[in-house]
Amino acid sequence: MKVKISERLDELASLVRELEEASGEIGAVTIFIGVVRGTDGLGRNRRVLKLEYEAHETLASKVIGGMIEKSKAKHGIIDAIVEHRVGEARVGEEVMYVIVASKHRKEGFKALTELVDKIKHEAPIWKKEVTEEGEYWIEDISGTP
Amino acid sequence: MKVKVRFYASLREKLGFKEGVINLEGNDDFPSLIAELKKVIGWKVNIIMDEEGGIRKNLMVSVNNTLINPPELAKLRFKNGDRVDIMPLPSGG
Repeated sequence: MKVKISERLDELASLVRELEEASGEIGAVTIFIGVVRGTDGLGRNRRVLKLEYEAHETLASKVIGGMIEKSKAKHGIIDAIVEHRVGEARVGEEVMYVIVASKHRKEGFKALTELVDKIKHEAPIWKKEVTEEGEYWIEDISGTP
Repeated sequence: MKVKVRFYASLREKLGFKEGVINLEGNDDFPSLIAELKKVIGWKVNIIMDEEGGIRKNLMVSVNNTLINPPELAKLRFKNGDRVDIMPLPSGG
């Protein structure tokens, strides 16, 4: 398991390799990549210039680590890696990786979807949209895909 | 007894206050912490606490890097050097 909250993400291919080399039982690696979108997340049609992320890094790592452990117990996945950026991120840049290794794809897809949702709703990480109209902290992401 | 309090993200900006050391004399519970905090941030304490004296539902609290469920806040007893983080609900990802 690896959780990293940092200004830079590691290279995705090396993270996948890290997981794959850890076990000979892995039959599937499922990946979510969070990318900065050019329009605001709440349907207001504002053009996003950049995002600014802030985190309680110690707590976020702890909370996400706990999510991965629970996911192993619930879905039987073999392991997972989560990385999330803090600081500024421009449109089109990647900001989050969630990588799940499992024996079969079925549990991998389930665990991945659940982990991504949990991280968005429960990990102490916050996002500010910097748009042409001003800067806005995203206060409520319930309902946003 | 000194307790460190820190605020994050939008909450920090609304309060205009990032972090500080709160001196708790006598009582060591969460309401006492809020009472002392009110002396520092004044009416803005209402951004943190609701009309019933509970923490607002759009906030979360951790003590020494452990999240505390809101019903458990009343049972908290601080020790010297504790760190309290008060944060908005997450919006990362």
